[in-house]
Amino acid sequence: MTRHLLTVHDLRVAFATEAGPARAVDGVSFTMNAGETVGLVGESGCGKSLTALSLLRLVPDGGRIAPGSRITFEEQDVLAMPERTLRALRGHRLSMIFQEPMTALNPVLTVGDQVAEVVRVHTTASAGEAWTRAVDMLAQVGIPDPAARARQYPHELSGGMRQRVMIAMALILEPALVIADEPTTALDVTIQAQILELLRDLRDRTGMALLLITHDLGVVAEMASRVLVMYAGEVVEEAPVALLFDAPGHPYTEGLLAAVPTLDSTRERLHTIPGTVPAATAWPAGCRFRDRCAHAWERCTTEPPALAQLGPAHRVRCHLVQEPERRRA
Amino acid sequence: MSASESGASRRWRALRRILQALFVVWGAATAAFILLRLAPGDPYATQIDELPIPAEARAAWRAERALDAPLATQYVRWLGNVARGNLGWSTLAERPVADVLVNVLPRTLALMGIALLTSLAGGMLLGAWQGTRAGSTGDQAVSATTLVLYSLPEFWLAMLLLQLFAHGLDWLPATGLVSADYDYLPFRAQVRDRLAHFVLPWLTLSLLGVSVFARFQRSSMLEAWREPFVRTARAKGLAERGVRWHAWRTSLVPVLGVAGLVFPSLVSGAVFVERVFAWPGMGYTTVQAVGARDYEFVTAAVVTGSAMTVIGSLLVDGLLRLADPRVRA
Repeated sequence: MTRHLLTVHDLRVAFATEAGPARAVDGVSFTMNAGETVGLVGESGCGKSLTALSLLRLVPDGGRIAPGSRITFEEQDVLAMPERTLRALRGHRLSMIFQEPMTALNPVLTVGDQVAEVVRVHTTASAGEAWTRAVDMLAQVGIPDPAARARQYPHELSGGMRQRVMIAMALILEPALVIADEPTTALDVTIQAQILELLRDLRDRTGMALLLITHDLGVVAEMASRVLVMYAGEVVEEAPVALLFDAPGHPYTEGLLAAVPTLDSTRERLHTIPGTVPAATAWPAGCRFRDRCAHAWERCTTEPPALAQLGPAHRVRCHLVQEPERRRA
Repeated sequence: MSASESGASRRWRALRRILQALFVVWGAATAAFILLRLAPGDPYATQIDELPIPAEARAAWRAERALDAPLATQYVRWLGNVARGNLGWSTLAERPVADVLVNVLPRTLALMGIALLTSLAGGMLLGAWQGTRAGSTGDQAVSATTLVLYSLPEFWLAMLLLQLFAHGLDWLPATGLVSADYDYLPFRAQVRDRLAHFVLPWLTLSLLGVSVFARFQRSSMLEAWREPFVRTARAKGLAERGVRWHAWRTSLVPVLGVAGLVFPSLVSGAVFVERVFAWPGMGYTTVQAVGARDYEFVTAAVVTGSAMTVIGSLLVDGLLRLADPRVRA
């Protein structure tokens, strides 16, 4: 068996709230291989960003990763390692691109300084060398006139340029795994395409693995080889990207795919999934999707479905796997 | 926008600021001129009104000094003199006003400058420390202390310190600039004596200043601490010290803004504090001069005080531009 770059096993993250603990991430397990691009899909609040932050132990205040969760990255136990080792990992072997490049960059420091800082923290390079590398990296992410741009502040750059700076910052030390949390959500459509193109290009050049978090299935189709679908704190489906689009196994995934508008569609209204996500403080017994599901029957109200094997690389958390005859037309 | 255009608009803005400043100083001095003459008595009231001399002699004495002229005439003459750099004659000190200012102004500038620096440095450190551990016992204790100090009038705090350190503990001299035997002391002892007299006025102003700045720095740091770029800094692998620096650097902007607002109250605070400690700086001398209706010294003091305030706020503007690239533009 090949060793995985990243193994997440039974990750649980809970927040203390007035209504009791909110189990925002509830038993997520998956693996990633070196160089692989995995899409992590789900609607807002499903726990996908929190899963990503957990990989760097950056869970916001009030949140706690439950004992029993395990994250192994490059054969190191991330959750057990001391702060020092963790810091050496962050931004160096395992880095993150955040969603909103305006607020995720420090407004009073030049973008060059912010990129060079990564080099200064993790290597023995002098300030001058770090700066040169930063300018070089800004050129690689497609920023014109990088030497002048490096001396500018985030507010002097466009949204797309700022996101390129974020990417430069995350990739300058050629990490083994990059987590991109909705990297294009805050950008114009044309800029989105450019940024995705850049990410794909850099991935192919450096051989990094990419965990792409998004609610946009179009992005996943273009970038990822494998997809994880999350719903209500759990992974509900995992499949190679082509299979997921051709033969989704989970009713939730079906709903997501049906909600994507297409040009040749004859429908007048966009498809929506009825209902809303239940609260993380009170997940319903049985299947968490059952109230929104067209196929639900008694078993779904009592017995929580396990992640069941549907094909060789296809896992689905649904009772329909065992009882396909229950599927309604 | 071309470079010459922005250069011209910058020059225009600078010119406008200077005109504004001159207007403020003129307005304050005029108000002082009128108010002082509306108060009963004049500079010679105590000296000649009680003397058993004929009323005509008193009138002649006043006519000689142009005190019988209409207010408008006096005002125009005074303004003309000030514009030519002649600040007039101090009837209390029986010396030219400029001579008195040369003596007392540097003392107050030193007191206020050093107190401002300690206030800023102490407040920024204390507030930043609190902001990163808000809600802890240490934070709450410091907050309670600064709130009490912040609410005390400066003369009350001055009297408390006087009671404690001068009368109770007898560690420090209570009043004056130097001791009575100052002239007979060796040089080192003279320095020590001056410093000992400096401590209480400085401590009073600094305690108040630190509490003001600490309160603002705390809330500003608390706000910066929640910004997404702090998470970015952590994700880059920075140690907590580096992360705090990121937040602190950004939190300075609103605190410096407050410094501009605090400056005038520091000027008036110095008046009370010097009075309590009978420390002969600008404030103390001005209070004496008001009592003695020393018209020309008081108006000159108001001109100086308002000029100091205006220069202080211009300095703060400059510092703000240094700290925040967004206002530079």
